[in-house]
Amino acid sequence: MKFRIYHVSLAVFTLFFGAWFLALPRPSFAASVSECPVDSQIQAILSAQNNKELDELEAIRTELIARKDALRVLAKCLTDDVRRTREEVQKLSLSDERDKRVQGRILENLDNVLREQNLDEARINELGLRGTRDAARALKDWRARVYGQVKGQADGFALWLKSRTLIGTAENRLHNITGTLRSLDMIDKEEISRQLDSADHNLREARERHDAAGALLEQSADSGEISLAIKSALDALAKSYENFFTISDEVKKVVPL
Amino acid sequence: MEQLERLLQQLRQIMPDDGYARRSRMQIIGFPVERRTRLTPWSFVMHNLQIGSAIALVALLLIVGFGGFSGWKLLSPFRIASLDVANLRAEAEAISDIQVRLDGVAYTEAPRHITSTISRTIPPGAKTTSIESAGGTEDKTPKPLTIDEALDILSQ
Repeated sequence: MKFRIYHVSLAVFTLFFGAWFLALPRPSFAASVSECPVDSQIQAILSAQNNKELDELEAIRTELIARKDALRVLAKCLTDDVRRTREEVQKLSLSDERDKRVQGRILENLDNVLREQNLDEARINELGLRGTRDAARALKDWRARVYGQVKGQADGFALWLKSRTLIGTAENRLHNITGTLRSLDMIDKEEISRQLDSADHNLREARERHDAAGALLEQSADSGEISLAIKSALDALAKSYENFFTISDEVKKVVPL
Repeated sequence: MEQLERLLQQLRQIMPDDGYARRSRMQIIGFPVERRTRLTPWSFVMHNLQIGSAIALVALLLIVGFGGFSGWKLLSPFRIASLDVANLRAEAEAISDIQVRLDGVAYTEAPRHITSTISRTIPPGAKTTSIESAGGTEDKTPKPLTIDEALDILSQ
């Protein structure tokens, strides 16, 4: 087969489109809620409860076996969930010392959470029917109270890092816009000057609030409090973009953008 | 005279180009003319270049068509990137995306589809009241239970 230019073109074309297709945004495959393959065990519990052919003792024994099986699966799902969160935190590539400190603190908290979840095989084997109910209730409480907090801190930390990048982008944006306005000789226009001052103020505010959220992360504060602090920083950041849009509209009146 | 004879002898030796003679003969007898150009390195390069350009143009057209490429903006005499609304909007959307995700940080899992999951697991006619009371909306595509949903069922 002869090697021709159109073969090269075809290859370039395919590579280009391949790259374009791969670069398309895809839905995240990570489930937002933690699923657990426990359906068959739950079905076994329900079957035991509803099977009229079994005598009472046999029904209780069958249900207990199914409940213990379900608890084993759930205990594994719970620890897997914590480990997944731990991996996500650990793989964050950080250079700043403060960031590394927060990362270390969260990893430590996650390890403590794993230690606290002590529903092991020996404990499950000792449980009676009521014991399995109590254990499930205790696990749910542990998940919401203990793990929920640390998971909130871990998620908050990842979003706090992303927010910092966004603040940096906005600061660059303000710098570039100021340069453009200066070159267009529009920087002294009343409305534009006012919007620039406001954008600068909002960005400073965003940076300060973001730092405050960082302090909360360092202290392992309540995840709700951390989330609110980051949101507050982002609110200020969003306001700076309102300023940018207004400036863009003002410039558009004079120069076609 | 002798000179003229020599000249005529020379003229007799003039022969048409082979290709030209063949094409002319074909035209006279009404046969479709075979247009076969001689393959020179230059024509080879040009030929391949034409095909390559055609493919590249089609590719560009497809990118413009499907990629949402706003090429007309390049035509604007004052294209000021720092004030480009599309860029500003993209950055502003990234902010609201994180704001939405922050709402989920304090979110605790709510039962999703317990009724549907249970209804497909329970034999017909069996009592289901205690489990159905856990709530949730009807979901046509069955999914595995979440950890919290399973714990809810187990604690009953």
